[in-house]
Amino acid sequence: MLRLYRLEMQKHLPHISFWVMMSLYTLLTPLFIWRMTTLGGRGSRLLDTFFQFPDIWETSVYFGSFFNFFLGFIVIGRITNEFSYRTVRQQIMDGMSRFEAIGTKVLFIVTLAIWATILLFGTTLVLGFLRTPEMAEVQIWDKSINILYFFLHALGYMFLAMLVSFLVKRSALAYLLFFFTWIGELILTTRFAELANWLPYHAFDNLIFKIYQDFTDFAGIELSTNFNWWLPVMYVVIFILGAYFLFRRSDL
Amino acid sequence: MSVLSIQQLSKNYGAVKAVKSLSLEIPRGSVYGILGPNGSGKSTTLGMVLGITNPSAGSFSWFGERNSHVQRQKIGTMLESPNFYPYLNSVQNLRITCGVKKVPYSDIDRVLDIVGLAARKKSKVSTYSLGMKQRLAVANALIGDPEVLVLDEPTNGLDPQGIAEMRQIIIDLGQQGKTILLASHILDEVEKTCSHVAILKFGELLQNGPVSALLDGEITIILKGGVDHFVLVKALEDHPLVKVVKEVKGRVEVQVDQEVSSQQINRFLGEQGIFVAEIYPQGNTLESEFLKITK
Repeated sequence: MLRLYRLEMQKHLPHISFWVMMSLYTLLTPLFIWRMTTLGGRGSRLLDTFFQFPDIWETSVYFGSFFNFFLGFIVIGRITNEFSYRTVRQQIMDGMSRFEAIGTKVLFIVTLAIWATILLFGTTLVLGFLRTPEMAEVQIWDKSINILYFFLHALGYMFLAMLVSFLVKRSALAYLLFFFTWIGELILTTRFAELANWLPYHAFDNLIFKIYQDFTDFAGIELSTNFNWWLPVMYVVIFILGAYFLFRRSDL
Repeated sequence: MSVLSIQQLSKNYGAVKAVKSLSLEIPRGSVYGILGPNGSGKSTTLGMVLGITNPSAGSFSWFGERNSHVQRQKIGTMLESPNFYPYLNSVQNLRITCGVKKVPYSDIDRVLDIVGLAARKKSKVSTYSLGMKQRLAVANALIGDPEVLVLDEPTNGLDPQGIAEMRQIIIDLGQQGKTILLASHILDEVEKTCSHVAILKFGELLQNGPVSALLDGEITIILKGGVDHFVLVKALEDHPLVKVVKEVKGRVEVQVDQEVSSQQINRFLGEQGIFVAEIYPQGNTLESEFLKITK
């Protein structure tokens, strides 16, 4: 496993555009969350609790998840590269099994998700300390479980990107298809509303919609967000197995 | 003993049958040339035995074992174009191959020396010429000093000097006792380097065996001038040992068994009062045999 992990990282770490993308992500995510959590402003005390411990966990997870699309794009770029350089073909010939080839991509995606989660965790912690007036009065870790939901959300988007990459193998097509799965789901939900919560993007987004629940509760509106964690987990498994079976059958 | 044993291997692309029920044994230590015109199924066959193309039917086994990716780690491969990460240098690229094949990084300098790329090992592959990439591909195939090498058009894109060097590398490797599977349509290359050949056309195996056996058999005797060619053809048609006689491009070609000498033919003609200006035997080349077989 360590051998495969090292092998995978040797492909990405020397690549300049990978660093540019990751640096952008690492810079923009905290900046965006910081900007969003200061929107409440000093004037409207009403909404301030959403930007303080413990509610800030939900808020920053929600805003941070906007960038998981970006992570998906990075994954598509990295995987379709292997097809256009035909390096995946060479590595299979050199003695990598197709299972290992998928495995290295899973390791790569989990690494990105861990990095994204650590980044979000740090950002939230810093912002929470800055914005919470009376630290002694709040339960800091009360809603920190949301960080794990963010992790699952990031995995979901990236594994879907992986599935799309193994399906079409070409970068431009994969970017388009990734985008169209999202549009497609939107269209589908407008026609079959009852289906919505079972579809992948909804299932993942429900993980990070907790802040809406709090907001609607606060505003006295009744809204059900259908949170559950097992459906996204199931989708992650389906995406990985799907990519594996597609790859196993394909001629390189 | 066979290094590679192929049984009834087939590959269909829709209605197109790229490889039709191919069976072949590659003996250990042979330099085995796979010949065939473009689209004859050479690369498809190699792709199947190397795990990148899924066979439609049939089976194969490397080293007499059940086929798996572990066996491929003992095979050095180079199929068609070189496949590398352009943004990495030679050493970084070969490290990935070492990782796949479970070979220590210390092997990298050895293989780069063999192909003469040591001086440029720190340059990105994107700055390489096609010939240099081809050399790197050969270096990649040599990682881990594999017992078997599978090379598809290894001299593609090389300059004449590079072609000669590559040929020497292959000959040297063959002399070290390695088994080499070489697909090519450059017949001269195969004749100079291979001990065995298989000839494919439209996915079917037309002929296979040692090169010497293939070149045995009939030879051609060329006759020219001194007499009307029509008379010459007429006279030779009566010779009991002559198989085919025809006039081609202002000369007469006579096909006979290998044992028949030009002298015998000349004496036969002399006895009938026919004297030609030129007579000489022409040995078979792989090219002439190949063209005959694939006609």
